[in-house]
Amino acid sequence: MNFWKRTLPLFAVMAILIASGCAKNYRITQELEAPIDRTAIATIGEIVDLLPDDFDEGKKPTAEQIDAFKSHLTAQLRDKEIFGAVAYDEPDAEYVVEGSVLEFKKGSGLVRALIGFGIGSAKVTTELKLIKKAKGPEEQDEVIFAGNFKQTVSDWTESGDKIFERVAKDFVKALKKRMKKLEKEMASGKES
Amino acid sequence: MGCKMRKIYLLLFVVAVFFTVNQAWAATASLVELFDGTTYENVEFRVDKSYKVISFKIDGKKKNISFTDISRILDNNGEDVTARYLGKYMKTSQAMQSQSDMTVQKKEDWLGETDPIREKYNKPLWSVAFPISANFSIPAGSYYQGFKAGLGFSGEILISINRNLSLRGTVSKSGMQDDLEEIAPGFRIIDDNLKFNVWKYYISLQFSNGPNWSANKKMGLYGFGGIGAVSHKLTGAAIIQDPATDSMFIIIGSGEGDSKLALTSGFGFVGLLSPSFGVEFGSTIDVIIVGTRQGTAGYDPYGNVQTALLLDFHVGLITFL
Repeated sequence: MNFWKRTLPLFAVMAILIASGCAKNYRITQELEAPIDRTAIATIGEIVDLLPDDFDEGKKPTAEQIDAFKSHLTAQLRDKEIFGAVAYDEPDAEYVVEGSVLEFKKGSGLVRALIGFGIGSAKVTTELKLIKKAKGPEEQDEVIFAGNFKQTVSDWTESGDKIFERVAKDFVKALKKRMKKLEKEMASGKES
Repeated sequence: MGCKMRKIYLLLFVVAVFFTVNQAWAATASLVELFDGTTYENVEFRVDKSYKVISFKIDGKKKNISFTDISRILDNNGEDVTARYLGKYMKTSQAMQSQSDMTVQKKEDWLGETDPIREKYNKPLWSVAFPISANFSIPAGSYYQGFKAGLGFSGEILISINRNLSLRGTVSKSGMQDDLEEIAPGFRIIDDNLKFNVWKYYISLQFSNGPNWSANKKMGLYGFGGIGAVSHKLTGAAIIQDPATDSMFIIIGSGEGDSKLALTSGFGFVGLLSPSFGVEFGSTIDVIIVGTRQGTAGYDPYGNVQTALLLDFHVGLITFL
């Protein structure tokens, strides 16, 4: 009894910390309402700068980092087979992934190694949108899935650039999870 | 369960809850309007500054809205409180309008790693800088028993490694006042010309967050840590008299002692007055490894003291090259 009295609060605290650690790294702002045509072609569009106006120009992500981010998004979409094809800068694509960077901190591997405790962490918050392109002049582009995604690298053994790869993974994972759910619902609807 | 354990658990619980809640709090709005024209009336929302969204429930379902989609938020009195909740993410209406319009969307304009504009911003503020300052040194601990705080000066050289890191070389003198009333209590002080100076020589690594004249950032914060040598120098003499016997005693300064290994750390602020000139103020703490041991040869007034502490406050000028 004494053992549980002593250890139960510790387990409770650990459970809260684990739960907060396992929490989703994103907030979905537009949920996918209908399944996507899995044979369609998708492309990666622009990732624009929506950092605060007074953000230090020298501390913004570089064009190379944004290119790498787009490559990660392309690779993840291909890997998870969300679309029939994912092309780079494809003007005829039916779907386009666009985004913006809202918060960015490059961080320092040296500081992470020397000090730690979250100091020197690299972090990014991005808004990512999956847009269904208009098929004709009478239609408008439609945001069908969107969310704000956040990632942090606080481990000195990892490169700060991993944040973009992780955000890309989170985005595609969240999209695939939703698609699976919708496809399952559709399949069960047809059966009944 | 002991009271101490309960306090530790309570502290852990508060920390855990703090990290879990993560900057979210509830507020009410009479209107939340989006750039696409959608409006939500009389909502109780939470602001998640970490993810840059506000969230509320509509028909029992949770709805998240990105800061970038929000045109305005009105409170219950009809007052526009958008800036209060979105802070730096509240753009001008015009700019946001163009972003929300798919046909006039903001273009990508990220700079390459070697772009001259980016390099200009990332260029260190200085190649070499020379701070000079006056300092007020406060000794602490039993090693400095018999000495009081005093004035001194320091000169430094900062050699830039990159935008944030510099190598810092320091030569500093802390002048301290002797306290004969504490050294020889009850004695009458006839003459006191004792001088006690601590000379410090350090090499440190300094991290600076600004200032940056070209980025219009006039104030900067720095912190540093390093290692070096410290020498103590007691010179001059003092004459004291025993009031009971009228005997006179002369205390003669022992000269310069051996250099001691020391660690230093500190922080401070720099304010720019021009691109090449500024003022600075800060504080330093020195841990000097004195390593005295009771019972070693001769009289040892300090006992078993391993470290001595010196706290410095300084204010000075800094020139950048």
